[in-house]
Amino acid sequence: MELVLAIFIGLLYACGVYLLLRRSIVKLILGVFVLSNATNLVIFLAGGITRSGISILQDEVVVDKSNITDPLPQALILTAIVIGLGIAAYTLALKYKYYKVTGTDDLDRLKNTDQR
Amino acid sequence: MILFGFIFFPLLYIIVGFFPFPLKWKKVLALLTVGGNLVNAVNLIYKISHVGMIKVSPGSWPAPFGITLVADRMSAFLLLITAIVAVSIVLFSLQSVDRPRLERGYFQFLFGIIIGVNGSFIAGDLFNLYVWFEVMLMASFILMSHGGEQPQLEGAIKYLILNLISSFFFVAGIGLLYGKMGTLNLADLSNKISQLGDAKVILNPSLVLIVVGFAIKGALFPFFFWLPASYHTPVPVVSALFAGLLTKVGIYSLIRFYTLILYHNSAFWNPWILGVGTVSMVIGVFTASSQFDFRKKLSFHIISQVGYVVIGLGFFTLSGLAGALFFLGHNMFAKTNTYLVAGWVHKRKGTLDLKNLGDVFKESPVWSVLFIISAFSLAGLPPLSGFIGKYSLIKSGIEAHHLFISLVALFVGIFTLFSMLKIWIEVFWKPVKEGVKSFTIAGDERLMVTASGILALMSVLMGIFGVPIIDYCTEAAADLLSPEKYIRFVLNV
Amino acid sequence: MHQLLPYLLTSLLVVGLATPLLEKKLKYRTGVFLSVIPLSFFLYFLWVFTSLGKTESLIIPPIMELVRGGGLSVRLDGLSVLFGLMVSGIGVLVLFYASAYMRKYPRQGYFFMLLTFFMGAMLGMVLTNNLIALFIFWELTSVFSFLLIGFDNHLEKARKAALQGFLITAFGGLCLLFGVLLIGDIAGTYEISELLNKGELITSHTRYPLIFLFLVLAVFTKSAQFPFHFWLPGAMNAPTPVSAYLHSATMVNAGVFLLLRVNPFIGDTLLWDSVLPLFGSITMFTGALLAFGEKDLKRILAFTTISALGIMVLLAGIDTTKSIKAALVFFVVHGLYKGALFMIAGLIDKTTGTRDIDRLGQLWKPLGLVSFAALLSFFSMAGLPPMLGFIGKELIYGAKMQAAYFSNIILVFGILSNMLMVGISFYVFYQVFWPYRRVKKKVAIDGHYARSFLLSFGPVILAAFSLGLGLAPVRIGKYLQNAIYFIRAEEVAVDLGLWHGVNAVLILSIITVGGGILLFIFRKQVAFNVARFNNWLNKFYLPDVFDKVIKNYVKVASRQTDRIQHGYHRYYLITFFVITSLLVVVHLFANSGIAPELQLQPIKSYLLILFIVMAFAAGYAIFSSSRIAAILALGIVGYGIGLVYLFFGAVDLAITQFLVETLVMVIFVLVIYKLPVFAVFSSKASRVRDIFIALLAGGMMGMVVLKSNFFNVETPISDYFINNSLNLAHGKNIVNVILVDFRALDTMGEITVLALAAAGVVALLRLNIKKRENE
Repeated sequence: MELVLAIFIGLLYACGVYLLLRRSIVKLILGVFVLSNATNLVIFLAGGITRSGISILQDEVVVDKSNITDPLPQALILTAIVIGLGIAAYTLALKYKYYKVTGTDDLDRLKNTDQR
Repeated sequence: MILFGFIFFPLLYIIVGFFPFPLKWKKVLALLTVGGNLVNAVNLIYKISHVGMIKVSPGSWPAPFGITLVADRMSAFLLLITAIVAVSIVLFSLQSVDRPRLERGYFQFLFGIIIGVNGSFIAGDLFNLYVWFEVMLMASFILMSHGGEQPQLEGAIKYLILNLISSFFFVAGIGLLYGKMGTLNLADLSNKISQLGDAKVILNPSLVLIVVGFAIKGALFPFFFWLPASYHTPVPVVSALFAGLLTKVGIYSLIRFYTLILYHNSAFWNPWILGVGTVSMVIGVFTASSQFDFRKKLSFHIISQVGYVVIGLGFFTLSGLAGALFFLGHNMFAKTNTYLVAGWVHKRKGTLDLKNLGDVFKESPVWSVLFIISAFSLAGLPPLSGFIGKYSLIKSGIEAHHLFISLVALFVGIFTLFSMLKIWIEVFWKPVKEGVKSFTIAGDERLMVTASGILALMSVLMGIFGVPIIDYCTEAAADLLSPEKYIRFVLNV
Repeated sequence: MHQLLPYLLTSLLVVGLATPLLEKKLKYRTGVFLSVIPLSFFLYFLWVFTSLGKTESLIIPPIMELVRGGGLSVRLDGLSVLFGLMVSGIGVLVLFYASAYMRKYPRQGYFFMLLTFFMGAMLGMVLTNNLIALFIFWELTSVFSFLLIGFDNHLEKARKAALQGFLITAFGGLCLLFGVLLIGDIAGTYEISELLNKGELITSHTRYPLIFLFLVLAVFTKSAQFPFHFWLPGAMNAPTPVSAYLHSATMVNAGVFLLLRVNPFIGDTLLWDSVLPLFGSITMFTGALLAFGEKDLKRILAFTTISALGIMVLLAGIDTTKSIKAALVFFVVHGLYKGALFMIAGLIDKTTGTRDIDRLGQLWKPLGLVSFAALLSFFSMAGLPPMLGFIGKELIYGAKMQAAYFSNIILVFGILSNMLMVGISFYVFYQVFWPYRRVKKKVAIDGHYARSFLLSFGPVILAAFSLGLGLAPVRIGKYLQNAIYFIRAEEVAVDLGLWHGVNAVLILSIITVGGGILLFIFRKQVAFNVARFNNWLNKFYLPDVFDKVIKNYVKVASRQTDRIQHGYHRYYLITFFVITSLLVVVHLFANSGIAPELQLQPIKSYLLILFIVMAFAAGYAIFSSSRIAAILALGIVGYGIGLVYLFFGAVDLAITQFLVETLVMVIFVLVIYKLPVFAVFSSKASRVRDIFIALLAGGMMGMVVLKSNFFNVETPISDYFINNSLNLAHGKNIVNVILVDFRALDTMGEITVLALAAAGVVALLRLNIKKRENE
């Protein structure tokens, strides 16, 4: 199972990076989304996959605490996802504005600020 | 409670900023907020110089479990400098930023940066540091593109994507580290890693990811591309803010991370840190020499100056770290001020192309003096702050037997001087080309002069009072070099 | 009294800052008024100079430190007081002179401010007992001379010369700093008084050659030694009072001062005794020779300064008691006549409007007393009796015979250069002053300047000193003993006199004068040939070469910068990913043996199917040419990840993931209709390359996950949350408890990000800044 997971994460990263390397800004943004998802997955799985219990405690039922999936990464990812949402929204707005101002989607046109 | 203040003040403005108060109120409020922040910072450094470290745990959850905010001497020093820079940035903004921008939440985003920077300096928890990074980044994305002019948008897209990569690396590294070590608190991490023995090398891949994250944020070689591509695009005062604070947070984090975590494996990390620092120093001045834009020249120099701090870290001696810390502080003042002067020049001349500028010395001796103080300070001329910084670093390099790196650091200075003189000659001395006219600045510019004057004064004061400040930095460095102290303080063991 | 000295020095700073205000009140009289300060310094030094015992030195502890161990402590001994006398004495005259000379200039307040600062820096440099402080003042003299040389900043020449001078001297300054730091590292102190008896320690250290190299670089750049001499003639772009001051007593003499200062603990080695005389004599000869080919009065003087500096370096390098004595005397000689001559050159420039020695002529009568001062000064420069210059030259010849290495060559060079000096002195005096020289067209004379008291005061006084000290050399000789004691650690009786009987030195002097007269007679031919040589040399005209080097450097830099900061965003990304991946991969392989073997979990088929579906979706998204399809495919990946969260029990996470994924997709679809369709920009080759890079990055991450994953070294802190969430935080959903309680600060930050993002989006879409029309 671990091998499958690793391969899948690797694949997601490869997809993300490939999209990032496109000249089209839209693809670039898609790449960012993929990478952000992949990274969250890495955090989630980093602690291991042996435990899969739901992290909600009940008053009456005795829960097997040792089987509860580590709740901290979940919390971290939740934070990361929400931050990602904010950034995604802003990125899209930026892209929209950029297209409106310049009328291009080509990243190579973005050279002006680097040139003397 | 003091530490909460650093979050509370800027947060207060961010919240209030959403209410439709008249602009005048907002301006006053912004001033009050940075003022409060400054008072708080002064108070902190006063306390810290007596007790050494201060911590606070929101929700009073004990240290490795809840988030802990910790300030030691280094944090307090940087927080104070940030607070002073913030005051002068707000003062300068009041008169230099146009009304539409001010009305569209300019100060909110500015305080977003400040809350992020403040937070990063006191974060005692790795993931919390990430969150502050993100706050800072979000705010900086917005400020970068605030106003929506084309070069701004271009710069912003590059800035955004390349910095997001940094965040991804960083957060993936945090996740992996947590997976192995089961903790996020820096002190706890350091403590647990020190008990690992040889097995700690298995952490290296995740540490590499985190360090790359910091290196991107700190604009170190070879991860600096986003900086020169974007720093000259926003409103000048925003560039000043970024130049003064943003990369410094990356470097601060690197120092903190190195002295708590990486030093366990310093045989591996040390050569890298030194190498990266040296190359950054050289490449920064080298690329800067070729520029003909006021702000771009300065931007490239940031890379070089960040390199100085990093070699100080690489020497990893008491005096080296003290020098690095002092240099970091000095650079925040001097760099910001050169950008502020650029901002004024831009307002006055409508361009920042060195070829079309000139005659500023004739037109405004005051601004010329303000510039030359900071520029010569950057070039390391005595008796200004930059000299003390470079002197300490080079001296510690010689003491640590890194003769070659010290020499590089020394002679990079001459190239810095070359760039600064080039700006001085082209912008201030040269008679202006025919047909290039200058604008009269509407209204008075007293606030702008005050803002820049504060920073220039700081450069002078840091030079004249070099000894006590270096002493303070040495104490801070001593704290950094004995992480047990930090660990014991944070974990209460 | 002595204790006040550091305060007096610092007070110069205050006075300097106040000069612009003073100038508003006093106008051109500012200079005269300011001269009170150097005058009091002069008198004070005179008092110290005459009252100091033969082996006595006074050390005044620092009033403040800039860096640890680098305090501005003051040292009064023969050497510092002698230099102090010259700096302050000529300072008085320069200020007098400047107040008349600068009268019509704009920004006089600024000028006098710089001059005061410059004077302060120079005084501080010669007075300090600390090498770090010495370096600081050394750099300050460079800074202020930069500002002074570039005073006429509307002239490109001045700007260029200022830049060149500053870059070169600042380079030297950094060398000095490094040398000083190395000394401090070895000796453990920067205090000169403590270093005096540590010479053995330093000169026998393995780093001594390095120290010597850096100090010599500092001296050679500052004192304009070959091959760094070229900045000095450019420096005459400064207003003449400044040139007079720079050349006679300050700035360029700093290098000589440094040599004498560090001689006790750096000198007396093979390197010292060979390198310094060698370069000194080359400089001495080059300067004198090149002076002959020049036509501009100030340039001629500048080249003779180079020659004189060569002599002083040479003498310091020979390093015998006699040579040190000669160096000290010659410093005074040179300062007196060079100061006078520069002031006279400025006066002539003001009076006639030209400095070309061919156009000038017959100025003897119109200039009156000044002409006489010029005559005396030229005599001193030529080394003729009864001037102090004669005594200086005699001493020099005596010293040169003592040189440890290549004394013959040095002597020949010395005689040749002195002949040239004699020739030039006669030549220039003849051209400019000789009343019976035929001139084609008489220059117009502005009598106002010719008779100006303030302008002629300086040169006359200086010439009088040259004469007076030549006639009564015992006065100065007596007081040099102290200086020599501290340089050579020897007590010697210094007797100076015009007449020592017929000896080898006198014969050499006679030969020199004879040769000089010959040169004068054949002046036209010599000047013509030197000028031709000069023209040929101008191909390698060093200021231009320097310029060219800088230009080429900038060119190379810009080409490389275009390569480094090329602007192609995706190559930046490639750099990031490739470097990071390689770093990580190297680590993974380096440490592969350490991680324990793991118990692998069995493959769950439903998850496998899910992964395969997601992988296909991701692949489809990459290569699809439809935007909506790509977004939807990525949506599938996102939901799939949500499902994975769900399978591992992370309910909240899964819900959030679904929500956010939906939200993002909705926004994306809304925006996408406003955006262009996918265009294929990239070539096939670049796509193949990108696939490789993507696979590298993906492989890296996959391996990291595989290697590191599933391996807990420590028990995670989350057990605390699981155990305490209900009883301490009173929440059942542990994740929620963590978010709102244990790690509430994170959540607050996260909300801040969202709030800022919302405000930012609004600002971005609503705010349109029109470009300034006149931009």
